[in-house]
Amino acid sequence: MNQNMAAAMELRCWGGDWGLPSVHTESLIVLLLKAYTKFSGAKVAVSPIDWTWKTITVTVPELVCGDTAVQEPTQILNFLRKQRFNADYELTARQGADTMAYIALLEEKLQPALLHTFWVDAENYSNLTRPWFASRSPFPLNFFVPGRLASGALSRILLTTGEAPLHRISEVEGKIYSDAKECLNLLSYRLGTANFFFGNSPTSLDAFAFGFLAPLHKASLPSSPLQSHLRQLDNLTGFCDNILAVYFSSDHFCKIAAQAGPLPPVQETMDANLQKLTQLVNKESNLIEKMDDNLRSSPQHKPHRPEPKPSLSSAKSSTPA
Amino acid sequence: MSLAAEAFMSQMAAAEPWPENATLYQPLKEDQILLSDCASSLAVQAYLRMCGLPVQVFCRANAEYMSPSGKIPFIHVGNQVVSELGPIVQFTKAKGHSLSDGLDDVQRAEMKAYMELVNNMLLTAEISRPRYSSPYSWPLNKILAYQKQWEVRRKMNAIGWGGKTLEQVYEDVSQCCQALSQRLGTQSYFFNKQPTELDALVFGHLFTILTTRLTSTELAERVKSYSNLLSFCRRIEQTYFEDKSS
Repeated sequence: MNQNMAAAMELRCWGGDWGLPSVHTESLIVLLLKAYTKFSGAKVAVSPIDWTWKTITVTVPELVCGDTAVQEPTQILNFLRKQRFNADYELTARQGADTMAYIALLEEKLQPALLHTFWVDAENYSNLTRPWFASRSPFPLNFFVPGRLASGALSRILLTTGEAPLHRISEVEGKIYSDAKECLNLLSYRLGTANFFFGNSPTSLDAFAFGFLAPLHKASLPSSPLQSHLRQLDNLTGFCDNILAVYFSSDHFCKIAAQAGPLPPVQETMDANLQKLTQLVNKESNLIEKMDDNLRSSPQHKPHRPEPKPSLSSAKSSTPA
Repeated sequence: MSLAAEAFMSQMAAAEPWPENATLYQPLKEDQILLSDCASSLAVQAYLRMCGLPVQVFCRANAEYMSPSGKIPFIHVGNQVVSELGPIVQFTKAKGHSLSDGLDDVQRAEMKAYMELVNNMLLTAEISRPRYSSPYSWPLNKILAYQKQWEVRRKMNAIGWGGKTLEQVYEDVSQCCQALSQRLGTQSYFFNKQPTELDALVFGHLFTILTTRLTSTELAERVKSYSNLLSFCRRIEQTYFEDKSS
């Protein structure tokens, strides 16, 4: 291992809250990467940019090593890999390919909805996100920083999911949330009952998934259908808690979390009610799916499948209006 | 689309079988169509052929504006208009034609994930090499071309590709092709022996990259270095497009 390189690395990211080492998705990804490359001797010093002027000058997260500065989680991942701190070396080629695919899925389907939940949804933004980021920026930046991040998030959502000048945010909202829920379901199927996505040790896919899921899981959002959907998927919430317990249980992060204050106790009853509500909603969507199936198997419609299938009983069919 | 609107569209779609006069619209081939749009259009055509559904292809200069979502290609079936591969797959599923029914949940998750990867990498790589002239006369052709370029640049900046050099874009495409190549391995199609929408999508993009003449052949060279992807494209072309003169 190159000791000179290892000594000089510094990671700049947003600070922590709500029981997480950082509230910012990309920072979380890199922090987890850093956590399990500890064993190979990578000395990376974490310096949160809260309360400094770096909140407006620096794109976070940023890894500074000597003279070079690397941004964006994927670039940082590649950089660490070149320094031979590689979390993925045990994966087969096929698993490496799957990793790339799932990361693309997360970025395309889940990230717009996450950005919307935290930055565009008026209630969440004014009650949670904006005060948090404003309180962590020095005066007078606290007036500018949250607004800048919010407009960046909004333009990203609009440009990637809608035709920008034509559609407005309300029209794409429904689509991005249903895409995100589907993405969460797909992740849940893929994870199954395992602790990590590939075997028993974390890989870069686990880092990305953790980075996206943990803020959604832990933040006390006033209004979020997506959060309640996630809470239903026990294996994903268990995945987040497991990683937090194993890799982020050091005193440093506990101190930061303690400063923020305890979570409100009303969360528990809210969760129980939300669970009942989401169960009802799921039952309804199951009904609609069944309706769909019945329509497809109705006798006036011949299925064009390669192997002949007997049509289902016509007792349940309904004629279209 | 909301849940109710989707259910309604499924109901309407299930009401009638696939007609003989279904049409697909795309922009003009020679001077107007963008690389990414050409790839999407080819992917939809491949998918429909895999399902065994006949469709006629029409090239129109104003295809973009005719489309309900502004994206191409779009198909006109009966009295419904559907655009983009995702909704078209759902539409055909409502009519009872589906290629991915045999997959279990985990495989379906993988398929969706790989489709996103292709969209992410190859689509945006194709966009970053703009090639947009116009069949309209001056000055409209200049104005539209600039407008398109400006839109593309905004999108690039929003997703963080704005600062990428061409070399990095080629590198990303290589990685994507490597992932696809490893997933395909020695199989005929990505999942079992049956083609799925993922095969249609990959074919659309790779075939477009390989056959379109650009100012530099770097992109095509990178794809060509993966021989199983090349034979995959050739196989699909021969199986489903044999009546088309290449």
